[in-house]
Amino acid sequence: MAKTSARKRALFTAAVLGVAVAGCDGERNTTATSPGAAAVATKTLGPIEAKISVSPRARPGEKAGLSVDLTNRADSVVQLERGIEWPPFNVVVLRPSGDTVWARNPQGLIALVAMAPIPMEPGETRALGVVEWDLRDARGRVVDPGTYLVHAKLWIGGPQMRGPIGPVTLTVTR
Amino acid sequence: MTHHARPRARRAFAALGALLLAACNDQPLPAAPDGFARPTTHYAVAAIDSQARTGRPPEAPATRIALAVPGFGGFAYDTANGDLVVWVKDTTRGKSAAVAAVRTYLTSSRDPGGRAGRTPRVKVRAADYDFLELGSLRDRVDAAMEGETGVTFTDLDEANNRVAIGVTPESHDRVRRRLLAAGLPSQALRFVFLKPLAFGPDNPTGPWFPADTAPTVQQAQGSGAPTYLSSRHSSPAGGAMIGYLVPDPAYPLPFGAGYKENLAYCSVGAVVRMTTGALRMLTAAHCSKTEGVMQGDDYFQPTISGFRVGQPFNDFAWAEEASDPAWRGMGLSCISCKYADASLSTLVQPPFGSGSGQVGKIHRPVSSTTAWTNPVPFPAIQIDAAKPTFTIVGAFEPSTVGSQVHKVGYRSGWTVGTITDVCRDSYAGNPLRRIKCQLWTNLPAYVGDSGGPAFRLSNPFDDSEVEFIGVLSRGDETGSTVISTMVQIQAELGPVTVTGP
Repeated sequence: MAKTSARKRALFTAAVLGVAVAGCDGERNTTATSPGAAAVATKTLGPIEAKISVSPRARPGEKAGLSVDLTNRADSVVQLERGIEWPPFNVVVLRPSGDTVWARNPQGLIALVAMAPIPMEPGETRALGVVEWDLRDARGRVVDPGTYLVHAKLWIGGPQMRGPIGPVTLTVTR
Repeated sequence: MTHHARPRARRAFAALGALLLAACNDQPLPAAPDGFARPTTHYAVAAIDSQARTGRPPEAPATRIALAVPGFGGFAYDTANGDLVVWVKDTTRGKSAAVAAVRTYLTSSRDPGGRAGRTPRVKVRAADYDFLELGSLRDRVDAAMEGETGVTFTDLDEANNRVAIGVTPESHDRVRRRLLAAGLPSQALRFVFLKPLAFGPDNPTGPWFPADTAPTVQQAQGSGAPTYLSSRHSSPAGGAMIGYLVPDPAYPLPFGAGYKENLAYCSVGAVVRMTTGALRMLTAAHCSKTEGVMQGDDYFQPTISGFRVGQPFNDFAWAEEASDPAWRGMGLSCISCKYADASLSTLVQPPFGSGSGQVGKIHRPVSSTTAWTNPVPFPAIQIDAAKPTFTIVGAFEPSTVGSQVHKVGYRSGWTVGTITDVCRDSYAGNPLRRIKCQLWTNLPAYVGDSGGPAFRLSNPFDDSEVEFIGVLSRGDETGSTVISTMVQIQAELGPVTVTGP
């Protein structure tokens, strides 16, 4: 019961955070999890639909991989402006309290290198890659079992594609 | 008692270190508190080594003043009004000496002040801590907070006479408890509240990815057409566009055979001279296939004038990577570190290359901008026909928060901002890699500007004379742009000369 309650609380927090984020920047940001399937969140960023997904459960010693896919929902080609960072997104893991546990790029700094934009045809979906979290905090300590909220923030696409995507909920078990 | 004894010991060590540093600079105290800040074209190797070992070269001028003037607590320009704020513990006794020493430093370093064009008013404020105490406290905070996820930065905060600690609201209580448990005085700590990175503040006017504002071929090649930073130059200088090939993970090859090679684009920092007299192209180390790995990357100039990102560089290379020092351990607290994001490349000689570059010069656009603008205004990227270059007359190591700083990068052109932190360790793309003691600014910069020169105007009567500060490294979404400064670059690459013959 206690575990169920904690999970419900975490999912509720995740949903509230997702709605809050969507409310902040006026973009749609939805989260969905079904048993055994990847936890998924989508967000509409201008003409692009961004989807992040992560396996919903992981145990210490495993790695949790967060992937991001983009789909062009517009009727015309969209040019994705980008730099050299790849996969082109930051990943930030928070506790339900909002406390940061781990970030792929702790200060959010990116190299100021230009690359040719990536054209996306109408309806095209492009996988941006996977970032793995080894379930350790920035000091290298294995995190406690519990619920964690995973966000992605894109380093691609220009000003219309900013702001966090997610969260998706990841449960670390014993 | 223990808590009192340890700071004294550390203070003594700090003072000893600073004295050694002063000795290496070969400058008597306190007559020349400017240290290495004096415009110079070349630093003695011994001095560089010493400064690099301290890890905090920009703090050396204030450290030297603190050694000469007991109770001196640092100085900074007030970013709101340009006033010079000098901190002194005993305002009845140390005030005159401290102000005089700061004035001597600023005069000798020809600091233009927080507001160009007017002499700053001096305000003396009562300090709770002298500069050596603050340095010691900051080091203790760093040691206590190593790897703490709730801390985004720590800083010897010259503007507030405190140690500043960037925290998220959620981590504040935990971080504070840990610091107090480590014996740090609550009063000395200034917490700066930040949102978690996922919700971090976007800079609404400062996207990394502006529309491609490079001139069209017709604009750049028509009769009497101007030259742009992204043009092909017969003799490139700082700020010019360069391209190099990288395996592009966005385009994987079939059967796991790697990635298609595509061009990445950066800016030239400067053409510099080695002690042997050989010329090298200085740029950011991450402007290469792999930062920290010497792979002999080829750097190309644009093939045509009016070059736009994505057009091919069908040409021989202009330069070839010659030095890109590896990531390495720097003590227990830094297992994969560097002093600077900088590399050197040889200029390819004829018949394959031109072997030509302008030593001591930076391409000079028509005008500068202080704003993040999208698209970038043409005058910021179009080279001034009447004054086509800045002349580098020396190097300068900034030590004052609030000072003005300029940069030229091929993508966003000539922009102007202010220094927000003179010495902050910066993460290089992942939690394990750090670049020590970088200069943080609010300079507008976009992708493509990496490697470009940062500098200050050095002559109020000639706005084409500049002192070289360093090269652009990285930026964040809040509008911060990070620079590797000359002292750190030379600690990484060895002595180089940035001025012309």
